[in-house]
Amino acid sequence: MSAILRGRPSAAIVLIAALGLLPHMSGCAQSPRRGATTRFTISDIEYTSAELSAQLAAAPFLQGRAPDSPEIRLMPGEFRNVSNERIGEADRWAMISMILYDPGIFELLRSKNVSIVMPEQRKRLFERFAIAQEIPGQTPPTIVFGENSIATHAINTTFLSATREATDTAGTDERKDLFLIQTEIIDLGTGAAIWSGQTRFARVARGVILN
Amino acid sequence: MQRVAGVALTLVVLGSLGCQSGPRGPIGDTQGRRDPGVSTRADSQDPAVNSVTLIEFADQVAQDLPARIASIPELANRDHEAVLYLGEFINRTNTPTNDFRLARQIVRNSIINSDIVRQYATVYADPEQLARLRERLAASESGRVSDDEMNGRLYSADDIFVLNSEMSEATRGGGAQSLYVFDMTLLELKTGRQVFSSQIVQKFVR
Repeated sequence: MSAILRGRPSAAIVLIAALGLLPHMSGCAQSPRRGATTRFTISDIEYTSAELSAQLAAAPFLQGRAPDSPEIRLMPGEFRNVSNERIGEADRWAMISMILYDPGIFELLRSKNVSIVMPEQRKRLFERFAIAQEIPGQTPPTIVFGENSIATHAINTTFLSATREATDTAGTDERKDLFLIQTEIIDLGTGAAIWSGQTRFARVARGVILN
Repeated sequence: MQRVAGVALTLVVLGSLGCQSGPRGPIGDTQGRRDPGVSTRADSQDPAVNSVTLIEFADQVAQDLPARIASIPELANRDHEAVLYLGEFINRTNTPTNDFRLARQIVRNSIINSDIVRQYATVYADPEQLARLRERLAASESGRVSDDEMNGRLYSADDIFVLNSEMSEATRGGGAQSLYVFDMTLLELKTGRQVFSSQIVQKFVR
């Protein structure tokens, strides 16, 4: 081999270039990164919110509504985490806020006579950022501050996951978490589920069995 | 010689560019995020059912069930809307029960959003509500209840259908081979009669 290369310097350069490509080729195979975790990232929250917002925008129950339809007062409802992921209060509110206050959704809900019920204690925060100020002659208000009892509908969120692991004895220590996030709108008067949105994705990491 | 070096340099640059799967998204680091439909080593080595199989099963039921609802005479040939409850599931496998909840949630999503299902039934997702309704039906002399939770409409047991699910597993060779059987059945509450079923059987060699 070395004799061939000594005789052909151009072949040597091409061989070096090919060797240089090897690390990139292994990167193309998308093997999980060693030392990474399968925990939620900020981008997961953003992607999830974006996907669920898009599904809510296409919800059949909204398509059948008009500005003069009976008012729906929608409150952020139950949040169930039955996944293996730790999800804090701030993450929960971030996700539901990104869905409901997405500019497109905000206007869509307004045009369908759907208001969002928020706890009274959040009113000052909204006022500070001039969100949902009531403008005379422009009804309905999109955000209603008050107790949950004034709500007619709730938007509930459920986090689920399935974890799979390969141990060292199998030649790898890979971990995979399959996540499924579901939001449902429930009619509080009847208990009937009127819409459901769902997104799923997996996270894979090597070198970590416990996050 | 310079030409050869140029070709080599171009190869390296193009190779590294090729690793990028299109333009980067506008948000955050997505390192480690994967398509949930792609099986990995963790799926094949873990003693629990392959997560890809789990969601494939759920997707199949989610696709089959709404379409089949219209062909179930007990549901379709009614003069008023039926009530469809998402009921219990039984886990007879080494797979954590929570994983099976995930599969059920996929089916639930499909049923709630299905135009076909909504044409024939109202979907209820709270198992406690079903338990309360059962108790009231059992206590009712007329066999009908006016349920305040359902807009005061009159319901009898033959209006109510329950979707149950079950997952079973047979293993050999200390877990080296597993046979998984997934079942989903729709039962008429009054008679307990099965009006729909879907089954998938999967075999794994680890």
